Amino acid sequence: MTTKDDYLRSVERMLSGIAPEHRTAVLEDLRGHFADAEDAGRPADEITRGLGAPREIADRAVEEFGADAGATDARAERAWRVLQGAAVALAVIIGVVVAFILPSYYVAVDAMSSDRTSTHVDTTQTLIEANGLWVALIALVPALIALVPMVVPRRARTAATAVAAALLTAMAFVGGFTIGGFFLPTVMLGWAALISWVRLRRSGFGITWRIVGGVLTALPVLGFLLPVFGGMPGRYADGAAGSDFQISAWGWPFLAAVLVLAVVIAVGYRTAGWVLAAIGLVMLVWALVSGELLALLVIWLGGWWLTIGLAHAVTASRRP
Amino acid sequence: MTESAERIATNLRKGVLEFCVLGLLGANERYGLELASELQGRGLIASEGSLYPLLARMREGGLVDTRTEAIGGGRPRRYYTITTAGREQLDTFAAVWRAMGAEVDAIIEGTS
Repeated sequence: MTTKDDYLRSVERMLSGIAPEHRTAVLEDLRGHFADAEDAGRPADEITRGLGAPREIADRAVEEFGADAGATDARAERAWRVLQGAAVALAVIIGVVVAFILPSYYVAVDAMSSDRTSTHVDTTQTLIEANGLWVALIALVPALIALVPMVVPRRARTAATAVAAALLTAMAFVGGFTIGGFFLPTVMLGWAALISWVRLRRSGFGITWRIVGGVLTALPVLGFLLPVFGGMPGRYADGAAGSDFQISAWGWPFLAAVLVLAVVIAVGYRTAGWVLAAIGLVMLVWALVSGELLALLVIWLGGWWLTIGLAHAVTASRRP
Repeated sequence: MTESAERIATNLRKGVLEFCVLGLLGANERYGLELASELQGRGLIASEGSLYPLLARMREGGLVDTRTEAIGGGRPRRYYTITTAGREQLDTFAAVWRAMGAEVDAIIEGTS
């Protein structure tokens, strides 16, 4: 490692905020400067002294391309706010539904009727009815955790976002299949917020990320189709029995639409992200209010598509 | 130079450096080190390194262009040249500078 390499590496690191083509141009010029100065017989430490501190070059670059660096930062800020904000909003909605609306306890009541026969009646209670206000408020803790990164100072943001995402993950898994599972969409949005915040201020998201986004979007659809085309459980395919897994008439165009969205996301159009996010949100809300047995699966699936769609919409560059 | 003289010089250089680069390139194409040494020799930049972000921005703005030439040892060297848009900018600056310089001179001479 020479003085020259040290110097160039240091400049390169400090220029990470500006657009790659400008960074490359400046570094190429500096390499040329070194080469020409060496040819002229100037010693390396004198050349670096003449060039000035790497920090000065970086400051000048921010001055020259200020709008550029500012735009990158504003995009990261916005993407992070949308995703983290969605995580908080979802945690509030899910918390309220879980605590006050969702029937989480089945209570068996034996009633004696006038003719002395006992009738067995099943009723349900919500979390707040069964355990009281304070226990119900626990359901709002995830919302508070997700909110913390939004109120800490900017320099603590990366750490706070990471800690919040890790805590929420731990809670969701410890809470397991009781109320923890309901918060998985918040967990996913929390991680998406962290990744977007860190990546967008560095090199951004390229083609590889978009393809991964498209594949992740399509995965659940392929999960639905496998039992149908895999021929494995034939009864699912012909719809005679196991109607839970039968794909209904409107289901086919829906699954096809999601596959199309997955492809368009991989290509890079932002609108596809918004559409997918809207589909995910509708599924999520529907599942939350319907209170059916399979609701939790639909909540996960809705959260999955909401997260991928939203993350794509706010991080994709260029195409509308 | 005193501290306040240094601060005044820094502020003034900021406004004129770009046009001094255009002026030098208007006379002759130059490579980076040449340009940096010349500007530093004339006291127009504090450190040579800060020239390169400026050149990158001027190139993007279409005021200057580059030409690469292989020199001894097969190493490519990048020469900066002025463009037509750059010459127009330089002419505009020259007119503004003369008018403003004359007014500033008149004021300074009137007060001193």
